Amino acid sequence: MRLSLKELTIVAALGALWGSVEIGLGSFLHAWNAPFTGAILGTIGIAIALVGRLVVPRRGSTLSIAVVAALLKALSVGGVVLSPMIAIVVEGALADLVLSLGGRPRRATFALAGALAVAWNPAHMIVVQGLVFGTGIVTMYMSAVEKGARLLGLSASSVVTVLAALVALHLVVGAVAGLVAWEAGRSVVARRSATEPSRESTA
Amino acid sequence: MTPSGADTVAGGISKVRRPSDAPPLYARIRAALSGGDVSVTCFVFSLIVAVVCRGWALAAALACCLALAGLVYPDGLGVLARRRTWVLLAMIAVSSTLVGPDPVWTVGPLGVSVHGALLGANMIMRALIIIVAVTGLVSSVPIDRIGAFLERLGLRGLGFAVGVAFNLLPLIERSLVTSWQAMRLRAGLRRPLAAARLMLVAAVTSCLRCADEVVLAAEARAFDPSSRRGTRFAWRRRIVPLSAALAAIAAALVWMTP
Repeated sequence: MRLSLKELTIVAALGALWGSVEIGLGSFLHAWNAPFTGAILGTIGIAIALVGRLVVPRRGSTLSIAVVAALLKALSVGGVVLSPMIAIVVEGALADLVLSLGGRPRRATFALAGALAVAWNPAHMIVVQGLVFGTGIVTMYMSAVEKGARLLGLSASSVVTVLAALVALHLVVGAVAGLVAWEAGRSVVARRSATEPSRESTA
Repeated sequence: MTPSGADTVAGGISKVRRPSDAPPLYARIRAALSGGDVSVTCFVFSLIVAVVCRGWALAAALACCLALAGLVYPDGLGVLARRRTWVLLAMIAVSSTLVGPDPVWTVGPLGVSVHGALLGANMIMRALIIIVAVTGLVSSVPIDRIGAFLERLGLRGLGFAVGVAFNLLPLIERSLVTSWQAMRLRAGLRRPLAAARLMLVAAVTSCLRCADEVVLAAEARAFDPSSRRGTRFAWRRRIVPLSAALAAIAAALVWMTP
């Protein structure tokens, strides 16, 4: 992938936008111990990256925006930043993969890209904890879920249902983010194409 | 002795290197082990021993890695001073002890499991090695080198993009706050989805305006991002004996693993 100077600068600006949301809103949400912080930040971030794909319609542009945002996330004050950095890059890579395989930009591919990217958040916790703590953490979680379900008088299948509902919620929120990004991106592109000739004539 | 004579003698003495002027041993070792190549080598060693070792070998590996971190990337040890790290590790220790298999002492649904406690201890040691190594590496390798590394992997112009993004950050934060306040004052938050779309359009448009200004300035100077050479790691010769020593330690730790 070789982007022009203009495309690179747009990637940088949108990466900075995602990064500033991660640093600003992220610190605020973490300080408040808000639930689903990763999902909220991921939804906003992936919407920005998907708009970026419409403005820079090149393979890899969504991933590049995510990588810039992840590198800026390293500037966050306090906390271990590597885990969110990995999450941002994986979200960008998933969205880019879907859009690249989907061919011409369409509403449905944008919804699918957003859904998959945001659905990475619940999986991310398990994957990262598995990498840090080893396979023992999976055994511990399974045992904890079994004992917890027995304590509350629930069956193991109902716990699976709750987890499936959580993933489904992330998928729906991501799909909505993808659709919002599609609409927003189209209006941004329309505005830019309307102002582009006048800008060139003044230059 | 006149004052000028005293100054001369003092000046003469200051030029002679006394044994007490020599930097302490720790400082000399720190200076010898500085640099991104040493950090990367120690990081790889830490990851390998964390993944491969078990039991007493893992405890020995933890001691080695903490000592290494103190010499190579002491900032990595800062993570041990954070309360959040210890709360997380304590939760792992308690929960693995309580939900582990074959409890020796039971109260209701919970029991104290020796096997679970040992499993928890292994997980905590492994996590400590990885957390310290990752934090140390991130704190000792600058962002521009990570950007240059990603450029070499095929993401061309990324170093330039990160530089531009870093400079645009304050501008973009200000415009985001302005857009948010404008929307709030116009009661634009009553319809959440439409508000999200409008906010996204406003934020992206303002970012693109900033980007256009950067492009104009760069084009006026005939700037070409593809001709820019990023900062690269210097793999020095002293990395060879260090790698050999670490490989020997890793082999010994693996041999100790039950």
